[in-house]
Amino acid sequence: MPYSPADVSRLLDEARAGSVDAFAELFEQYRPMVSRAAYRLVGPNDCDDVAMETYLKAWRALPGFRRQSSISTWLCQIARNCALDFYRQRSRRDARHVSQDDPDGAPLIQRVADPHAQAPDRAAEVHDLGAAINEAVAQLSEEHRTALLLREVDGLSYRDVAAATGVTVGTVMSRLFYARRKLRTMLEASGPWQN
Amino acid sequence: MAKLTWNQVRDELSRRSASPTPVPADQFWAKFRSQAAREPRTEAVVVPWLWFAPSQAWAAAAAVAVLAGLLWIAGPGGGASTRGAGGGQRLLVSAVEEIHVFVTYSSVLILQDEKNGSTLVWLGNLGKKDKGDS
Repeated sequence: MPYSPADVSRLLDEARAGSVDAFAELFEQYRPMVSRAAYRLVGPNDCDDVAMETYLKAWRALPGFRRQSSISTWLCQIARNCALDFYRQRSRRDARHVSQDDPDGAPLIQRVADPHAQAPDRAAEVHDLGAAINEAVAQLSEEHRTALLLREVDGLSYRDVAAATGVTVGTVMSRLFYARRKLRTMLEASGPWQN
Repeated sequence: MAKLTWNQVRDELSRRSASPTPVPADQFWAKFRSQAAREPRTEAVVVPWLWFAPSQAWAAAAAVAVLAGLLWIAGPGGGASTRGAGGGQRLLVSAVEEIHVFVTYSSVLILQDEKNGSTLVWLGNLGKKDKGDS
């Protein structure tokens, strides 16, 4: 439910003053976005923890939030910091780096690939298309893939993608440009749907 | 077969992309309330808007003043010295003997790393009460 600017200000003031109810009412609408960002950043196993930590940090830091950025952008920045903290803690705990091939890290491509999600009435070529897309996405760099999925799949704004990934909006646009171009090139070069 | 368009790619990607199963709102907020109640909140630091820009300049000036002091202390003949366990090796350790801060602040923290011969000075809440000149 969209809130008017006056409602947002009122709820923010109440939340700053300590009202968890106001905080929950205002910030509930951002939960899907934060969950998706956390999912892209840390994977399926830990995204709920990171999302919760993001909200706890936002709650603690809310009195100092001066609305110099939008709430969604602010939350994305916190989510990114929580994801980085999570990686640091995990790397200290496990003394190993989470990489694309780390089974615990749940490679993004496995999260993208979901052959069972196909509608049964889709033709075999669609299956090929999906498989080819998965393969092409897997060949993108981590930065390009994350930017692409946050933007195209999760629908984050450029500004929120920038906040979630810790780069400037210009860098996001650049990454998206190269990611799209590379994806398209790979698909057109290998796909059966090529003219 | 028709030429592949970017919209087709995006639609297919969205359709096949796994999404996190959202935690039910009641469950999420119940857990949030229990955890939030256990942790203290950061109090708002209210700094007058017009004071913001000048305070940045004053903070920079204060940092330069402190830095100059550190350099002087660590310079030839000016630094305190320690001797390592093996003896004979002179290490210059910077030390803060005097701080001049020309804006108000609430706290000062001095951290000295003898191993690396460095000193960090942290001034808290520049522009707040408790005028400091120590």
